[in-house]
Amino acid sequence: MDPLLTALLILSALLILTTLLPWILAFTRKPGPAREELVSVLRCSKCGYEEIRKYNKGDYVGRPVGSCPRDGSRMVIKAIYVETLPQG
Amino acid sequence: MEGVDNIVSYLIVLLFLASFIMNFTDIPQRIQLQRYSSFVRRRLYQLEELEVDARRKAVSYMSSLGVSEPAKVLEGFVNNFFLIRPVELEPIDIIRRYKHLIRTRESSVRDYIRTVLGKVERSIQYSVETVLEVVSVIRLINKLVRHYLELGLKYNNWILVMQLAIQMPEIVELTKAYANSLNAFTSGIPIGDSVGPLVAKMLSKWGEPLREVVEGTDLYEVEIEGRRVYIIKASGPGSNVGWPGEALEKVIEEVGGSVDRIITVDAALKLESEESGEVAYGTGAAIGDIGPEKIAIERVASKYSIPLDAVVVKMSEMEALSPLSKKLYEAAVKAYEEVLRVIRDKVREGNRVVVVGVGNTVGVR
Repeated sequence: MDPLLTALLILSALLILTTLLPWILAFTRKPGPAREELVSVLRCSKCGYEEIRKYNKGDYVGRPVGSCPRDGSRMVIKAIYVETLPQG
Repeated sequence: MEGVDNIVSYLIVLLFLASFIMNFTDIPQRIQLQRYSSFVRRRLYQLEELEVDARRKAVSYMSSLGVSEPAKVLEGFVNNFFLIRPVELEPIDIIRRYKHLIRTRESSVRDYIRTVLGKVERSIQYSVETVLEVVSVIRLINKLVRHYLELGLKYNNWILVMQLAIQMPEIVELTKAYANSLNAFTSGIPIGDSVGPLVAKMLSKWGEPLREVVEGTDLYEVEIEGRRVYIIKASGPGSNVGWPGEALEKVIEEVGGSVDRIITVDAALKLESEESGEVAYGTGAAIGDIGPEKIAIERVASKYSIPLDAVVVKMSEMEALSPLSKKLYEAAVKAYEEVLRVIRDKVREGNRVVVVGVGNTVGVR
């Protein structure tokens, strides 16, 4: 085959490959969705004892929830947030 | 060898033709117009899916509250309740006119929702209002994208379609953020924008408000290391931003302007080069308001020469509308510590300071 034609064909193939390479890489490297969990942080209004538990429907920051296991005082929800857990 | 020579000659002719077509005709632009419009159409399907999903969530939320014919209620809201901006050419009393129009619109929206819901808790009423507003925004985005696509195709305006295509990923992300926020609003979970009210709640030691200072805005009063601290935030835990400017004005007037400092805390949109959850301290009113609330804060601060500080938590638009992440919660704790530092360093013992927690108080009582 003519060397000029061979060079042209190789050049074309290289051009197509370099155009498509970033797309292929981005597609194959896409990370899977992270595991997320919504949690409520409970805090004793007297001794400051804290506890993290799963979010329950109806929870809101400032909601009184039960009593402290340490001193029996009122526990209040001090925060609600989404925790991202490692895959697995 | 002759065959190869022929191929090379054909290739040269082909290159010449291709170069002519590329440089002296509109064919490449037409091809690009088709490519970009098909790209926009694919994203538009995504937007439509998000709208259908948002409508479904809104209808199911209203059904759970006992609303009869929720689909009709939604339909009655999404294309109505627009706000025509006041004349800006004449700036005199523009804030008063803005405030009047905003309040009038809000009162019409609340009347509509009250009629539909009947007697329910105010926090639920606020949440329904936000859910309807979110669906309305998603509908508007969809309509605007379709409008520009059809306009571009109608007049073969390939630049318009290309611009739209380039902006589509950002538009889809924003719409996704709005659609995701519905989960938070219907379940009452704090979102990124709730950091301001969350910091206010931390300062109040998760206590109960002293009183409602203006409609939908609460006042707390605590003592921190010998300083009297007034805390203003929207009434929760429903989705509500309250009227922080008007509330601040009222509180400051009540104490005759005898306040050492005003501190506003809010979420701020980060630049792409910035980290989410960065806490920054500055001067001015940290509030993303159209005008009336922000100017109320600035006016009362300047009337009594009260220094005005701002503490902001940086986040993206997506994060501001999504359920609060642990990273942003930790940033809220940092912002709380920053507010404490300002109170300790800049307010004398025995004096007064007002802290305003600006933002949507969904999920924060």
